[in-house]
Amino acid sequence: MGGFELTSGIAVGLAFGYALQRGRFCVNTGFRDILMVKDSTMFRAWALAVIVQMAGVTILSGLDLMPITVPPFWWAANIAGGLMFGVGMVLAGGCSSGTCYRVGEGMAGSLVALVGFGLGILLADRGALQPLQDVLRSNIVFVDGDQATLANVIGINPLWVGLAIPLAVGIWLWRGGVGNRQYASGGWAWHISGFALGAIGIAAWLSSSSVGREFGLSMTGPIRTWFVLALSGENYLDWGSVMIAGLIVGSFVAAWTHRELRWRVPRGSRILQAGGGGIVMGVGAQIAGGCNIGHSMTGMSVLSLGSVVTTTSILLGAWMMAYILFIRPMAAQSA
Amino acid sequence: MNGPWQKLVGLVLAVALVAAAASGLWRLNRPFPDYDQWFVAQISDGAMVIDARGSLSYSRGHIPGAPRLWSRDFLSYSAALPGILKTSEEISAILSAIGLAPDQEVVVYDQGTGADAPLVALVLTSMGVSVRVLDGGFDAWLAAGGTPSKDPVAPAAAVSPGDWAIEQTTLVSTEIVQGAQSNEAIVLADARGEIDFAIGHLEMAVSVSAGQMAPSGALPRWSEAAWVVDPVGVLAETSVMVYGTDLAEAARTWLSLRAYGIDNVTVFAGPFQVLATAGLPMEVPVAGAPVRASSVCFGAPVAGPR
Repeated sequence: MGGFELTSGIAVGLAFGYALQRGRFCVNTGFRDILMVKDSTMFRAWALAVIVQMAGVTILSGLDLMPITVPPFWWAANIAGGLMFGVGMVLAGGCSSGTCYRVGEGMAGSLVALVGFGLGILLADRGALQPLQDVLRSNIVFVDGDQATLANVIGINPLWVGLAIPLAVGIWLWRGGVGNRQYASGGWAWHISGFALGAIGIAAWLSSSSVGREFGLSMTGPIRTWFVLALSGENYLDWGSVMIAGLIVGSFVAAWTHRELRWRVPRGSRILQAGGGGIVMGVGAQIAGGCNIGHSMTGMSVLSLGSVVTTTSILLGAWMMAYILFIRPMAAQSA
Repeated sequence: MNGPWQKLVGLVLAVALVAAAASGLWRLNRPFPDYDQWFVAQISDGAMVIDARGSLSYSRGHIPGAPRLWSRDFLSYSAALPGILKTSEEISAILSAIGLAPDQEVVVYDQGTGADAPLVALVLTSMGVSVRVLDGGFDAWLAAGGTPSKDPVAPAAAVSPGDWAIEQTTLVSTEIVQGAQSNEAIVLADARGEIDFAIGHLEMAVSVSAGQMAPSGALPRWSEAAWVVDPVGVLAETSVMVYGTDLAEAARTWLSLRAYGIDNVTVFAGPFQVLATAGLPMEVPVAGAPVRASSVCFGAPVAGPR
């Protein structure tokens, strides 16, 4: 691993972890709250992060300053893996990035969920569920022999699509007003964290691509790499792996400097649920080829159809589980 | 409200992030380390310009004053041995005939596709000539406002063929390639396409395809070249020996590696077919074995072939 690969990966990871913690950014929260409390604040932060990154990546690749990789569109794997990931993240109490930043804050439940996430990834990547992954991934869809992107489906220049979507979503966000809703005292407002995460996503594309890893932020692959190293000794540490390490340290620094660092251990049943949810989440992310970061932020920024389908499936899976776990019991209780 | 040192932490992280992004942008688009040693963007004064294209392209228009030296003139063809490099004596005669002297600086160009200029550059380099390739070739020169000439150029011989007493070290024989297969200090690089490589290649060879190292004759983005050569263990100080479907293909990989900053690159002086029929140990990879070490988030990481 080269010096730049190491330092830039850590720098981006530190900033990523810091922004996640200050923004309390968690896609699980964002998707779940739309259904449960009819609040779209965190969802708007996610949408802003996606469009900022989409506009940046579109301009950089349009000017031929940066190569990009589009996640493959294996529709069965995207749907099944996305649904599983959505279900798993509600059980675990956090998405992959939310889980990681909460580890930096000192939450024992998230640490258990992270371990479950890694084991789930290995289970599908090289364990008992590998045949299922292979079957679901066996059908890769291309658009006229080219990559499956929204621009190729519509048949127009990606530059127009990659700028039109951010413009349209940006107007929607603007008309909705900025507001000042925060998820905890002292945390960033949604528009600050959305913009910061989008900018970090662009920085990730640039520094990661410059060391031959033509992709932006992702969690599944890098976490898999650490678990493969820990369990089998095979060493493929790369930009993404050090970025993940930086993320947890960045979140720790943010929590520590704002006096929010606290070792918190939930009750046993909650820990079991977090671990189980983490495993389901890991299996789903591995099968889909990415999670709420690799697909729902980075893949979306290059207009990948696979990422759009995975993100939609994550949303549906999360809503389904939130209904079963929270909404139905609450309705039964009030009735 | 954040205190001053909390703001300082945020500021340091923001600066580190911007630095990572800016240096990433620079690294992505920086030229190859030895680009200037092997390429020129414009014809410089004092250098002899050589047209490496075929006769038809040359007759339609060429850079004024440039004699024609088709890359294939260096090769002899027969049914048994297609595209074998001619002997040093024969090459000396060809070079003398176009008025080239050993101490002359040369700029060579082709149409811009990389089909001819790298091979001429390789042979001239092996004969001790200081040579560079016109980046973008004839098409780029035309686009920059060059006015082509249709007049043939017939220079007088500058030196006699006997003056080209060069010890040949850049272009190597079948026996030397065979020796490299058992020499851990040499990386044997297969310049053919990845599919050809997957079907079968020389034992101990790694894939450094000309298609990736010089797509359409142009150098790739620096990081894309690194993505090809880094995983197969090629460093600046590594000794590399290249072979290709033909010598022109091997020359494209050779030129890219030299511009990438690898100094010790030799090339097999013939086509892969010669090596395959000479009985050199071959390797057929497992069917479906991945060729790129991609581990972003889609699939399992894969080690390089060596």
